Amino acid sequence: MTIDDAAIERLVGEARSGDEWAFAMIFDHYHEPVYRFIASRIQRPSDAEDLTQLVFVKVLEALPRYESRGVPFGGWLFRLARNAVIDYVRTRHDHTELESVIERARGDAGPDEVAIVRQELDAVAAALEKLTDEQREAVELRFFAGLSAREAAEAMGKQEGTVRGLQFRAIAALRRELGIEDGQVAAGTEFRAPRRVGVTNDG
Amino acid sequence: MFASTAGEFEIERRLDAFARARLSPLPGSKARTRARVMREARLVFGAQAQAAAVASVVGRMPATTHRSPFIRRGGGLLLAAGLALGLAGGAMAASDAGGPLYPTRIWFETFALPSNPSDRANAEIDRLSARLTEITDAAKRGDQAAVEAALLAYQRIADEAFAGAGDDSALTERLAAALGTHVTVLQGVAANVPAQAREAIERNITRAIDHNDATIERSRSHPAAPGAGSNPNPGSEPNPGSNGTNPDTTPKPTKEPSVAATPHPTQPAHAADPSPTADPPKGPPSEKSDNGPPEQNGKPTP
Repeated sequence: MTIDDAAIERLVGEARSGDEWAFAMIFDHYHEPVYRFIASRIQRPSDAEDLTQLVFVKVLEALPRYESRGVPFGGWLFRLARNAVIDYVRTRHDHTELESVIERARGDAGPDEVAIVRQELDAVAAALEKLTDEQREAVELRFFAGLSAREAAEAMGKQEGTVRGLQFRAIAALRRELGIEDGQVAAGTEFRAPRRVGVTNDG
Repeated sequence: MFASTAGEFEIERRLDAFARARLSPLPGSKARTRARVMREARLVFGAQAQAAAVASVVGRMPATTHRSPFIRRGGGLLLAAGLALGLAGGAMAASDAGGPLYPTRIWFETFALPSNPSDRANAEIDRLSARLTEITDAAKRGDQAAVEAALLAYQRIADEAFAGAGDDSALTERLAAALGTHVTVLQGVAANVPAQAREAIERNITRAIDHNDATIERSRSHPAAPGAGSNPNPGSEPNPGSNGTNPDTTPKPTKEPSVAATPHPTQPAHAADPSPTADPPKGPPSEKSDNGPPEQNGKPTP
């Protein structure tokens, strides 16, 4: 399900006036992106789940104070999520351990394929760890949570151009780390955009 | 999405695969979170609707009266203040023991706990004392549901506190002393419950006392690392090989801690700060049972 920015703003307006259904729609739309963003920072899935819940409760509390005024709702929501993660990490001294997060096995893959996939995922995790904090955050917001550059900029409290720059440098660093040349595309994959979990489509 | 070259596409593909494989919610996670969040939403929106209804009544009042603007304004202010107090009172009542927001309040408390193990243990003892007050007040009223909710929260916090103390014998002893005192208080509460709810409340309190006894016993019989509470080398791990070999640092398990523990309820152990690299405490208590610690409420496992 994809919802455009205007639809999100309508839902937000309805939720602000006490429409439970509208808030449920907002939850359904943002749950996975928020969870992914949090899970990329928090080691334990159970903690990521609790923190995701906390973020939505905070959204509920802060919704009356939200004013659009050109600020995309996704960016505003992820700013709350980002602050919640920062608070959590600060109080728990829980650092990101990307390698240790749970991997969901693909049911349709054989043992060899699973081993190859795991190797590839481990390589991505290791490459992500070598990025700077800001570069990694840009990747997390843009690719894992599916935010637009504008939303990611709002969430990070930076200019849109800065976020684009961080993303550009992060991709370059990941390509170097993973040894990916321009001509190299994994066998059996066609050149199409991956599924996006986020909202907007400004790229 | 963003890719303009095959290399960039490949990076996106790998990041997407990584997110799907390792960052996606566990099955059932969304449903659990949704249920809890929407429960909160219903409460918040319900309160908003009540406020709006009252405001509309207030808005109609001046048209039918001939009071001066000053009096109308004063009346409006009084009504607004009354409404605010009513809403605040409603929210507070909802977060009281047994109220719908009570588990959320307890859960939020865990997020405010300090990270330093010693400070955290003190904060957990404060939380346990607060629950004890709630249990006492609810028992006096004969409010069975509130007693049950507060006891459940008490047991969870106790488990969490001991898990957070880990192998630090000073912290464990401090917690055990607090629980020992609480057992005495709980026994007193159980003996003075109003007749109409005596049986159920007594049963719950007895279960909590058993849980406390078992927790104290378990913590004392668990081989604590010698000197873990005053580790001169903060970076070093406790030596598992020496666990339980030093009888001086491992308090003897007592079968009846309720009486024995009362003479020294508070331990001046704040100075013995544990190592800063002690294991971080467990995460916030969760209603789910698949990811959390083993459920022990009412089922002591000595």
